[in-house]
Amino acid sequence: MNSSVATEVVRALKLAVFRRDASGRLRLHPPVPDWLTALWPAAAAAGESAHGVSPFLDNFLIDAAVYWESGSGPGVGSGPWLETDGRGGEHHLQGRALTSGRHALLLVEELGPAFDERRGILQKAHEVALDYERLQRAEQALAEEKRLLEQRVQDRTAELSRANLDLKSEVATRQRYAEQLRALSLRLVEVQEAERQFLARELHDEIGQLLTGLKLSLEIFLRSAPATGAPSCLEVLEVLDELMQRVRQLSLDLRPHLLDDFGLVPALEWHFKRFFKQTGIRVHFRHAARQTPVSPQLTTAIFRVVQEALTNVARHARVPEATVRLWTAGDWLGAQIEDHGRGFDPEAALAAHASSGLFGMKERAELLGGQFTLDSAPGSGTRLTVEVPVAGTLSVPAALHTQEDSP
Amino acid sequence: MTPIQKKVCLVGAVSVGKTSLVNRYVHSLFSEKYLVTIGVKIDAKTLRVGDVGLRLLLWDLAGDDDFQRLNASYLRGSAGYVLVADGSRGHTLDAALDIQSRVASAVGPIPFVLALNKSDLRDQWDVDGRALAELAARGWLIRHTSAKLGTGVQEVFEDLARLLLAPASTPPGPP
Repeated sequence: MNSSVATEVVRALKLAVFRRDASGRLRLHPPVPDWLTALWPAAAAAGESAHGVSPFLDNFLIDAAVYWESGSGPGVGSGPWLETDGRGGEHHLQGRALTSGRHALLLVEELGPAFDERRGILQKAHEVALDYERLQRAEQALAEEKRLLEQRVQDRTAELSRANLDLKSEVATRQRYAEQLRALSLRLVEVQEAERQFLARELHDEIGQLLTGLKLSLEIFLRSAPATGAPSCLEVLEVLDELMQRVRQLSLDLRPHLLDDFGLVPALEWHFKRFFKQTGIRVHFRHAARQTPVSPQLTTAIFRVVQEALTNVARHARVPEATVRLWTAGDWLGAQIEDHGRGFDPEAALAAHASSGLFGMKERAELLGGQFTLDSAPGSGTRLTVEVPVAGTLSVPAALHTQEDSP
Repeated sequence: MTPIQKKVCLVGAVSVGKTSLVNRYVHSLFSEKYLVTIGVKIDAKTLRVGDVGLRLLLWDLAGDDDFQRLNASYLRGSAGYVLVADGSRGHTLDAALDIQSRVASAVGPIPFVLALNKSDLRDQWDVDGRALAELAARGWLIRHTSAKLGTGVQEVFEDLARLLLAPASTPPGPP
């Protein structure tokens, strides 16, 4: 290549070529590129040295000098750097130290479009890397959030499971207590009824018989010796009659034998007559009960509910009449006591525990697995309904029986 | 009186804000746009430390990563350096520790200051406080900076300038 061609190549590549002389000074070889004139006008004008114009270049020349002194190898590069000229123009430069024959050369080029492209790629690569890093951080943050959330859910679930177990245990305990309480209540009712039955029979069969025997003896005595002490004996007879009447009443109050001997309907009919005699309140009895076999427990419960309800009518309703209905529907036995009297607020009465009788009726129905309904309002009368399953007699747990019955 | 001239390098991982710190300190400028530094850019700033004028030649070196590795020859002649990490990206502090070790191997135990940059993103702070406390216990000078807001920037260079001029300064050296 002749020198004119080489010069054109140097110009086209915007290269600044420095040749190192024997004293180590770097002399600028023409042509001088425009960028060099813009950056270092004094050096360009002097055409002498590259030293002192750029700290970066000065630093590189140390490595270049080592290379030139060694005289071997393909050369050393400076890597790119940025210089700013007096007008604020930026110049990306790159230097290379090499040898050509016996000449030590320093080439400095202004990096052109190829560098811009490389820079663009690097910029994009960094942006992608930073985006990826941000994404990773976001993913890590999300994963951590998820982990914390899962941990919280896990903790809360465990807490709820524990609470649920405690609750189940508590419910089971309460259910057990409730069952025991119901069994005890039923047992109490049974014992009470048995005691009443026993006392009624004692009064009727034993005391009544003794009193009857006593009366007969007195009458025989009076017939055999009518003149002796007749007035006082007649008085005794009157007292005895009164006593026998009281004993009979007491026996019937405790438990009408009709209930045990003839069943619910005859016992109720007898009770309504007696109730009319005692209170003047007429009871209209409407029953469609078939002759369904009903346990003594159920019979007693219904009889007691009707008895208690009518007592309430007599005490509070202030009416001349009441209606009692008795029916069976499917496996259910129902009784209803209705009056058109003063009525009351059932919720208030139950909440205020104003009537233990109401509670007693409700409890009797529920102990037998039945339902108790009370419809009443002040001035609108009262309708009390009890429905119990015919086969729904509650049995006392064996353990409880054993406990209760053991001596 | 001619100021004393000292070469100071800014080193750290990519995108920690080295160029932004220099731009803020030298030109009072800040740009939200991230532009990757390729190779080296040199700026100068003169300041006074007491009665002494000091001209800092600030060598802003390309961020050290898989694409561009720190060129040890660029560190030659450095009187000190600013080690920069991004407080919102914890791993850049780990990278800074590695770079500090390499710089110390290349140029010896010269003074430096750790600039924990992007303190305006405190709500996204991601650096281990215990690690910083350990570094401070080792004698590292640590500054929280925000090139965006300008906070702590001047202080970093002034701190380093004082270290550079301190006659009996004891550089912290490698851990």
